[in-house]
Amino acid sequence: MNSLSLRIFLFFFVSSLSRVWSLQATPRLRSIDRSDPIRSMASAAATTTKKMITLKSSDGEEFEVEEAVAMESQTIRHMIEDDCAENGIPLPNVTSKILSKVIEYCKKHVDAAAKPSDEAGAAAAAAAAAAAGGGGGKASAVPEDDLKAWDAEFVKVDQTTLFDLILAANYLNIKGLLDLTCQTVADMIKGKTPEEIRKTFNIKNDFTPEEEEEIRRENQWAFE
Amino acid sequence: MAASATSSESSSSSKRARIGSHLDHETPPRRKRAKEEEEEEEEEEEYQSLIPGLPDHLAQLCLAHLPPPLIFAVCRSWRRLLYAPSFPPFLSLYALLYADDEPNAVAFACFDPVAAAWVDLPPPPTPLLQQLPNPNPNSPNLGVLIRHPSFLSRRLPLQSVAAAGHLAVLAGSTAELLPALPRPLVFRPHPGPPRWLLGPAPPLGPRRWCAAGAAPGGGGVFLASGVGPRPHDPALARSAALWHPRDGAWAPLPPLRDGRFSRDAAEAVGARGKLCMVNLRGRGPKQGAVLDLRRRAWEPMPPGMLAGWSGPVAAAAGDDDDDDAEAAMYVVDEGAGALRAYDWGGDRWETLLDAPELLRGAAQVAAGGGRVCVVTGCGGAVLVVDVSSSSPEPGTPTPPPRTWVVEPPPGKRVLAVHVLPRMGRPES
Repeated sequence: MNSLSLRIFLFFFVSSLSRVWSLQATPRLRSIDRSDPIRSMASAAATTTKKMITLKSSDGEEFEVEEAVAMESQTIRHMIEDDCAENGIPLPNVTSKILSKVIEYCKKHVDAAAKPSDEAGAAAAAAAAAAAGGGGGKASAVPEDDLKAWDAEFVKVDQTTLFDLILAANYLNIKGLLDLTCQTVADMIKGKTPEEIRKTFNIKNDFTPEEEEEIRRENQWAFE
Repeated sequence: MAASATSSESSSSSKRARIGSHLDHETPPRRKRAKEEEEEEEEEEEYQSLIPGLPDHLAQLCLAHLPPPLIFAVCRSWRRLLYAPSFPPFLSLYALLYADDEPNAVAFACFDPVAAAWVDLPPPPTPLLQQLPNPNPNSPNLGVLIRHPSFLSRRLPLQSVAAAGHLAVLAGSTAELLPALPRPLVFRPHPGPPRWLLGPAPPLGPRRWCAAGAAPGGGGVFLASGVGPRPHDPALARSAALWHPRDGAWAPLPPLRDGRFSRDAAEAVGARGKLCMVNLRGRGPKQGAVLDLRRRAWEPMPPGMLAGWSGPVAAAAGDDDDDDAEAAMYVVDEGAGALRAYDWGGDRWETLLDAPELLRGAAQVAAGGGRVCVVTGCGGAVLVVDVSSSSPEPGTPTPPPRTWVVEPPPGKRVLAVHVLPRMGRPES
């Protein structure tokens, strides 16, 4: 094929693609940016196009996410594997506000898991193996700390949202998010006195005076 | 509570069926009863959910790793959760007790440190007791002799071990100076309702005394050497075996070089993949041996470890090899009255606590959950020492560890203590 016919072919190919993209755009569509060239290159060998899954929140909003991101949820993973996801997945227990947060979490964690393979993979693996005796290779330490910092910021929300995230993580079966949110609640409790805990969570002190006495003992000890 | 009218029971029984049907299957049965009571009587306590805004099974996930004394102090539903079967059990102090006036009647009890209360263990069921050479099958007595009329100053050994979450009573003597336990008597506090069972008979027969301990990393019960019904049995005096409560039989281990460990009851202490023991109690000259479980070979005891082994010794029973890699070993120097920890790198014992008035003459020691529990001289008290590692600022002297005293129930004295998970509540 000479260069002129090649250019004509490419022109028609690109223009037909853009028509397909514009057809997919709907008013309330939210999609993930596909502009990350490194990731596209890395997955180019596996698939030429990423499969997208549509999630529908309880208040009617639709979210289009990559399959890999949606599969962070074991519930959704099973539905995809059982071929129930063709027309989108309805999530009647999750509002759009919470669903967007959940998707943000899943996307961040899918991206974080994918990153190490893009860097000089062999060098990073070798450094990690050599430093394994010293408690983890330095090559992966920085991204892990970054992710932990991101997680810590992610859960800085009001109590109602935090509880809704726990319920959603449980319903969607996303272990990492469930562990993170439950640990956040535990951290809210640790270090507080019983009275402060009751105030924070609106718990009534229903002890009898004798039961209260049991707590105020002098010689209190316990195993760790 | 007693005022619940019988007339309302028939109408509420249908309510009960409806209430029960949509409760989460993980919720403890107590909640069902509490909900029924809530529906029946207004003046009954209202059941409070653990964390308002979350279903209980998710609130449980949040509370699972909090310190038990904190959970105990917030409200009634949190306190109930602490004892629920689905909730990770906190560690408690189990004790073999004997009465002042009846030294041969051994009783079992558990001290719950969170509620600060002694709870008797359920007695071993009669069918189990009937398999022991018990002179009086109607009493819960094990038929074990602790004090023999001819040996007033010396207590005959009754050996028990806490291993893999079980309490196993392994060796003791009857009044006829025969082995009192043909098979180990084992108590399992958790999971499920607490139960007693009999383990398999040790290879080469039951012992009047032996070397006994818990294998490191949750490996089970270790038993070696000792004396059985016949006073001289060289094969028995050299034997060694291991039993994990989930197995049906003892697994043999390489035998000892000779029978020198059969002279006295010995405690075998498991830590860092090894079982360490010495062949004489007390402070006289003794010999030591170490079984390396990975290489499955006996080796001599490091000289520093042997030199400082001047009283009862214990190590915290780790659940797995990761816990075991950092395991610490403690000795109570019964002459000087000091608690020491073994420095594995330097082969020496470092003093943690000097308390001669409390620790001199210590009889037995158990370690676990960041605490070392010492049975003091006559069994009148248990001293609990806080040995959890806390890193002070460099340059400042380490403050002495905190201690607490636990007294046995009135009229009783402590023979031995062990650290194990709390019992499941009997009604659950």
